[in-house]
Amino acid sequence: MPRYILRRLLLLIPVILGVSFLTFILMRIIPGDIVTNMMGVSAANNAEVRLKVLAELGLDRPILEQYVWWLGRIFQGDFGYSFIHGGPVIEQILLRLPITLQLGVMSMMIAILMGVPLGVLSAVKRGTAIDFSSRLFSLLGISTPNFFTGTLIVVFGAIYFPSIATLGYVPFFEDPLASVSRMIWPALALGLGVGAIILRYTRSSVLEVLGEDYVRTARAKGLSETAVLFVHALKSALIPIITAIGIWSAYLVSGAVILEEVFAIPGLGRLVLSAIENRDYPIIQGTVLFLSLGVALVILVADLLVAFVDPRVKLA
Amino acid sequence: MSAPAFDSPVAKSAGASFLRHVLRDPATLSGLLIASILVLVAIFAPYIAPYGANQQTGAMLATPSWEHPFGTNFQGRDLFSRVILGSRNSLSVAFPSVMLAVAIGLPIGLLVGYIGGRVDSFFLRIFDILFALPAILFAIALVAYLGPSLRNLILTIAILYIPRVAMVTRGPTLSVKTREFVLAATSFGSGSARILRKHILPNIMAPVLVESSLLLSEALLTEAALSFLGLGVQPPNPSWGVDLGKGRQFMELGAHQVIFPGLTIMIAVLGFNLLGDGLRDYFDPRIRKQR
Repeated sequence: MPRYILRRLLLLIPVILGVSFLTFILMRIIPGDIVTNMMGVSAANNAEVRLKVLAELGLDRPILEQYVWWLGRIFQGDFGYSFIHGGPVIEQILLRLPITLQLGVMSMMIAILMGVPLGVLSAVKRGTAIDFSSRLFSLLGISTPNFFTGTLIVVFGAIYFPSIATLGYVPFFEDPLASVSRMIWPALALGLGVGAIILRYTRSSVLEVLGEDYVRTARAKGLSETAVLFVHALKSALIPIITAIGIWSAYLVSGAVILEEVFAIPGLGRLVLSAIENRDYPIIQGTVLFLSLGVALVILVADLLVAFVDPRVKLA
Repeated sequence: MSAPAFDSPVAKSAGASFLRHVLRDPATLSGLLIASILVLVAIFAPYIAPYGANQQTGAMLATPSWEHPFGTNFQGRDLFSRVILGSRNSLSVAFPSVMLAVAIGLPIGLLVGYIGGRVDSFFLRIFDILFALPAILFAIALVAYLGPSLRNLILTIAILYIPRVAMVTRGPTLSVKTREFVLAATSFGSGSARILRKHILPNIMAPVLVESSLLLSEALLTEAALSFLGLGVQPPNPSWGVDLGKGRQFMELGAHQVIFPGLTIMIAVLGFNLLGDGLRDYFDPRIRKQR
C-alpha cells in the first residue's frame, strides 16, 4: 500500500509539469503584441513601461528559462500579480476558493445522493417502468446544459417565487443555514447533470456485477436478494464509481464557472470571467492552473480511496 | 473505461444493416431523425426563417403566437427565426471542430497503437494529463487569450477533443494489430502503411464513429456555453447560446426568451447523444445483450 501511494504521488509530477506547461503556453498565444494587448497602445509605445511589463511577465528571457522561472515562482505560491486588483493573484484565488469549493461539494453531494441510489434501483428493477423512467431522466439530465437548468431556476424563481432568493452568496460561517439554502439552487443545476451521468454509470456497473459468478453463488446459497445486493454486489460495484466520480470533478469545475455567472456567485468562475473582460491575464492563467491542479488532486484522492477499498489495486 | 473490442470485421452491407437496427430501436431512430432535421434546417435556414435574424418586427417581448412561434426578444427580433438561423452557427462550429479533431487524433491514435511499447506509454501519460483538464474552463481560457471568433472557437474545441479521438483509436488498434489477418498480411510482405490503411483502419472506424457522434453533442454544448458567456459567437449574430444568455436580461418579462433557445440546445444535444448510443449498441453486440 505505501508503495502504491508513493507511485501515485510520483505520477503526479508529470501531471503538474504538463498542466503547468499548458497554462504557461496560454500567455504566448495572445495574438499581436502582448504589451499593447494588456496595457493599451500608449503604454506599449512607452519604452520604460514596455520593459517593465516584459520583465514582470518574464518575457525578456529565452522561453525554456521563462518556463522554469515561472514554475519556480508557482512552487513558492507566487502566481504573479493581478493587473486590476494590484495584489498577488494567489490572494484573490484563496479569497474566492471557499465559495467555489462549497458549490462543488454541494453539487457533488446532490449528484451522488441522486445518481447512486437511482442507478442501483434501475439495475435491480431492470426492464421495469422504474428502470425506464430513471434512464429517461438520466438521458435528459445528460443532454440538458447546466446553464439552461440554472437559467430556468432563476427565471421561474423570479416570476413565481419572488420571496425565495436564488441569486448571490451568503458566506457559510456567517450564516450556515442561509448560505446552504441560497447555494442549493446552483448546486441543483450543476448536480442534476453530474447525477445523471453517475446514474447511468452506476446502473451499468451494478448490472455487470450482478452477472458475476459469485453473485450467482450467493443467490444459490439461498441469501435474500437484499443481502446479495448489499453484502456482495454493491461492494464491488461501487469501486469503479469512486474512480469515475474523481474524473467528473473536472466536469464539475467547468460547470461551476458557468453557474457562478448565472447565479451571480463571487467565486473563482466569476473571477476568471471578469478577468477576461478586463484582460487581467495573470488572474486567468493563475486560476486555470490552480483549478486544474485541484482536479488532478481530487482524482488522486479518488484513486487512493479505491486502493484503500479494493485489495486488487495494491498488486498493480 | 477501456474501449470495447470490436470483434467482427466490418460487414459489407453495413448501411443496410444499420438501417434495420435503427428501425427496431426507437431511441436511435429519434436520434437519427433529430440529427438529420437539424442538418436540413441549417442548410435551408434562410428559406425557413420567416424573418431576418436582426430584423425588427415591431413587437418587443411578444409572447409566442402564430406569427412569432417562439415570441420576440427585447429588441423585437423574432426568436423562431433566430433559432433557425442560429443552427448554422452552432453546426458550423460543431462539425468542423469534430472533423478537425478526428483528422488529427485518428492518425495519432493509429500510430501510437500500432507502434506500441514506449511510444504508447508516453502518449498514454500525456492523454491522462489532458483528460484531467476541466475542458470548458480551458476552452474559456483559450478563447480569452486567442480572442473570440468562429475560427478560434473551432480550433479550441478541436484541440480539446484530439486526445479523446486518439484514445478511442488507440485501444482497438492495439487489439486489431495482433489479429491473424494482420499477421497474414505482414507475412505476405505488406508494408506498415498498407497494413494500417487496408487492414487496421476499416476495423477501427466503428468506435471512432461512435465517439464522433458523442463529441458532436459535446461540441454543440461547448459552443453554446461559450456563446452564453459571451466568448463564442458574438451578438448580434444568432446563436442558441447567445440568445439564451441575452434572454436573461429581461427574463421577468417573459420566460419564452430563454425557454426556446435552451430547449433547442437540449434537443440537439439529445439527438447526437441518442445517435451515438445507438451506434455503439449496433457495433458492440455485447452491450446490446446487456440492456
